[in-house]
Amino acid sequence: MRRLFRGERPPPDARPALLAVASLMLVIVPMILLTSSGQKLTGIGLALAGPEEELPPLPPGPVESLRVEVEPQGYRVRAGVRRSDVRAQIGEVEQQELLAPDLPALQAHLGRLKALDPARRRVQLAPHAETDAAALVALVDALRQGPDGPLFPEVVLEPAP
Amino acid sequence: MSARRFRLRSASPRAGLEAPALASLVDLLTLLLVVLLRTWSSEAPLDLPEPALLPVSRAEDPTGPGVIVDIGQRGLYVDGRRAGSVAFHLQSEDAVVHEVGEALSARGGERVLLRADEGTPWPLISKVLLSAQQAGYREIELVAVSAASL
Repeated sequence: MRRLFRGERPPPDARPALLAVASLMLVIVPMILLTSSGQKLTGIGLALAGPEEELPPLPPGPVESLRVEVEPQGYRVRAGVRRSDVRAQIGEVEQQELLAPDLPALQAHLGRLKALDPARRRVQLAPHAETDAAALVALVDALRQGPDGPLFPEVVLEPAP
Repeated sequence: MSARRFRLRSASPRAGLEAPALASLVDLLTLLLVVLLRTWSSEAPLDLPEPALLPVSRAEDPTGPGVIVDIGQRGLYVDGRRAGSVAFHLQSEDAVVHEVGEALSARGGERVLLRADEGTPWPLISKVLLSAQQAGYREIELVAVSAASL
């Protein structure tokens, strides 16, 4: 026999399900804390240009050479950029020298060069004798990734003189 | 005493933890879990032969297996064995560190993980890198602490 007037059912009790999830979390979180380490290590691949070693050829692009030198006052970018104006001769390369007092200024210069030659991936880096490991890592990070996107992921280090 | 100071709520059928309170607890634990999974690593804790601070990097590429070369504040180590003095090799005019090269050649791997103290000057890092290259190692990684660490 059907009931004419159905009574309003109480809403289902969500507490058992929530309690089960909370209990699971309370087990998982201490387990992760016990079995893992808060220090996450990362590896930065380094390539050192040997004196007699030939680097693999680069794809042809407007930026023919790119070198960053660390100086006591900042950074110097030396770039060989192929001229493209109508008066330029075929293969004529303009040597540009750009100074940067800090890493953001360096990244701005490199960003402009990257915009000229998006296919270029390699940059040569000549650290200063007083550059320490922390500064070297910060510099390699800055050369690889700029504020607006990736710059030059292949950083080739020049050996110390 | 006319008014009860402490009312027991157990008389209600929905006594105990209320669903909103439980939901917020679950939210909090989920956030904590996500943060832990994002920032924590299952690698073994860093075990250096002498106290040193590794540089901090924005990179997040995990390190793989390899022969470990440590440059501390006093000594150079290959897989935990001392292979020279930092002060001596900083002054030395040699382009390579022969002891490190010999130790690496004896191990005969292809990959070197270089763990250098953050204050290690570039000329010494360069000597160790050249030594590893001359010993036949093609892949050299500088180990750093990820900025994503807690």
